[in-house]
Amino acid sequence: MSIILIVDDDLQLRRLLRTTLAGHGHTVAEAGSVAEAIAAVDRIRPSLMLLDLGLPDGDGLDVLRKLSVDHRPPVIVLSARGQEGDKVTALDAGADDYLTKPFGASELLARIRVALRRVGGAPAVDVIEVGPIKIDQPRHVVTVDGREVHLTPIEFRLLLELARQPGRVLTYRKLLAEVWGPNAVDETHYLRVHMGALRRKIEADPARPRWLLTEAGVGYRLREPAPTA
Amino acid sequence: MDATSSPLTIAPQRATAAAYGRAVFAIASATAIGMALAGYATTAEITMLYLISIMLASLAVAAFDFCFVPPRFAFAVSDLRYLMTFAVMFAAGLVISTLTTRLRRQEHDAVLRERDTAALLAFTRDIAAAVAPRDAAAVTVAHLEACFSVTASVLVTDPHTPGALATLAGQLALAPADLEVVRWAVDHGQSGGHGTETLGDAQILAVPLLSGRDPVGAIAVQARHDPGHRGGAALPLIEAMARQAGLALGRVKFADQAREAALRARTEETRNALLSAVSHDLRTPLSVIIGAATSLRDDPERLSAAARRELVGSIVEDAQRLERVLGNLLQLTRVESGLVPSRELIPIEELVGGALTQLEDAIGEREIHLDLAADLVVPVDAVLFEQVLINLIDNAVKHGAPPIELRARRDGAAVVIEVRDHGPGVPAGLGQRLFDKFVRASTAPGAGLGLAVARAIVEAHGGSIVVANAPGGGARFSIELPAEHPAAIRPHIDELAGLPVRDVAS
Repeated sequence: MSIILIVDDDLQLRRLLRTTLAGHGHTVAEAGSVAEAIAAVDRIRPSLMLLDLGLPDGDGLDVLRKLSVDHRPPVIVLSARGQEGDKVTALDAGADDYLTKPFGASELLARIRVALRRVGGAPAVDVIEVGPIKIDQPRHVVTVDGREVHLTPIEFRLLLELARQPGRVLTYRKLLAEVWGPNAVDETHYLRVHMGALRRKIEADPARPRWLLTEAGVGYRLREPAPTA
Repeated sequence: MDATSSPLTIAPQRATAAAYGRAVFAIASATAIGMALAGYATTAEITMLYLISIMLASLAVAAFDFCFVPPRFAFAVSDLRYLMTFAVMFAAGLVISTLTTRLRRQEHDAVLRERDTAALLAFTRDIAAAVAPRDAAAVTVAHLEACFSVTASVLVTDPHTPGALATLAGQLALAPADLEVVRWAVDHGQSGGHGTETLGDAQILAVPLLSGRDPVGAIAVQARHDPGHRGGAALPLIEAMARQAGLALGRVKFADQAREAALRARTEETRNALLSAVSHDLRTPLSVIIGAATSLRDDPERLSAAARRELVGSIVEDAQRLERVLGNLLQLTRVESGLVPSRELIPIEELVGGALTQLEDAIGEREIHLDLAADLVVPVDAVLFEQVLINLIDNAVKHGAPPIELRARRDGAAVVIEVRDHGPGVPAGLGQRLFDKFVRASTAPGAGLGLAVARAIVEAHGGSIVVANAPGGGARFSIELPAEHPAAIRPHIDELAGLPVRDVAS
């Protein structure tokens, strides 16, 4: 059972999150400020933290920065629409994902599921399957619905990065660093062009993507397949 | 207007010194010619000379008597027959010269009247085009200074400060005494000053400007070359011009007031629309949410499972509606307060794809047709522009009918993006007002902000957006954006080939 730390100064929102998460079997702890959050992380070692960016005694990013990487649980940032810059900053500072307020319960639970899975560590498998997409790593073969698609090395690498953490948004910067190396982190044009090419090969209709989703101003995300009940 | 050199005074030509001079000269000439012919012609023939010279009267008779009637070189008359001749000559000369003078005067007056009429006509035409008080005043000054050798100014009363006069046009420097003349003319609604019966000693002539019966100002003129000149005959024309100018000033002033009133009304309208939008579009969903939520809280036992589901559904939907209204208001405020888009070259496919993904639930099973030019990139702010597409598609979903068509192509130096639906189209008379805040095409829920946001963002990108009814029905929204750096993305693709790709196994 996972312990989730909610860091938000709004009591109503905390109450809502507490009720929702407890109802889904999570243990919930709460903090209303940067100081409280850091103390709570030290004390209770949560398995995940929901972090609001606007806190009374500082920026939510301060919590990320003050916690050492070893001590830091997976973090989902809560932020408002139109703060794409803040989202990117938080993601690049080590947050795992973000949720735009207001958000629905199912979306919240899905993101929590994705972030917790990362803690468990995705098993190092040779073949990754996300929806109809199947990536055979050793053989460098990708099939969509059983049909083989031919990807360039860059496209293969891009797809693999996204497929390793389905449902998780990866910033332009992160994708560029992973695929091209740290010197290319600002070349978002590269990414967009290759992403477009990859979509044309993977998606039935690249202008209405089912899997390779755009998070405008932030990055890309491979859709997590709906959990099969 | 060709009368630029007309003097201020166009007085009826009475016998002037020049006219007398001309008469004396004519008589002297006739006398000289008569002298030369004295040896060859009879005296009767020489008499004709004087008749021909037309300038007659007593001077001619006297000259004839003195020079030719015996005894010559004396005014004495020895032959009585000559007395008869004198009388006939005198009478004929008098009649002819009177008739000639009258004819010439009539002819002169006709020319002047014609010139005045032309001047007034030209003035009327020009002043009719004036749209602001300042224009009307400037036209008046220009015409006055062109018609007469004067310097002119137009002064107007200030409705807020009784008695105050402000110069609206013209270079005439007015001394305090001159201002008194102008004030008198305005107060009495009559011309005053130079050349009139009132304050005739003044340097300037002031003619009131009347709009209906209300004095709105005055024209002040001062002769340019000849300050001593009396301004009698120009007065009727100046007064005629003043009547026209007064009417024009009244007209443009009313137009000004009407415009101001319309602006006030519009501001008021916007405020009222905001209030009504806020009270309606925020309060209605809130009422639903509070009502449904309290029902669920207070007596859940009485509600069937289906009713509970319905209430919960209402809460969710109306909360989302609230969020959209607030989001649009916020976005609009941000863009209108001068948010600078951070532009990057974005493939159109990605923009459209992002928007369609966001609208997945709203679109549902509706048919969407896409026609996007291959490899088209647009220099836009990805987040803002996705919002434009979202709002346009959402608008088509709500107010139009499927299929919804999305087109994008390069058109010269521009990128054209179109969103078209097959619904009822834009209501007649609404047109581009559809983009105004709080204007709604139908009764479908919404605050009428989505399209205002779309236009604000497009304009922040230096583009334009218009709506029209498409042939075959439905509304078509067309965005035109400058397609700067058309080749900018190409070099990057080439550079990419040379970049090392990190090993998969790292």
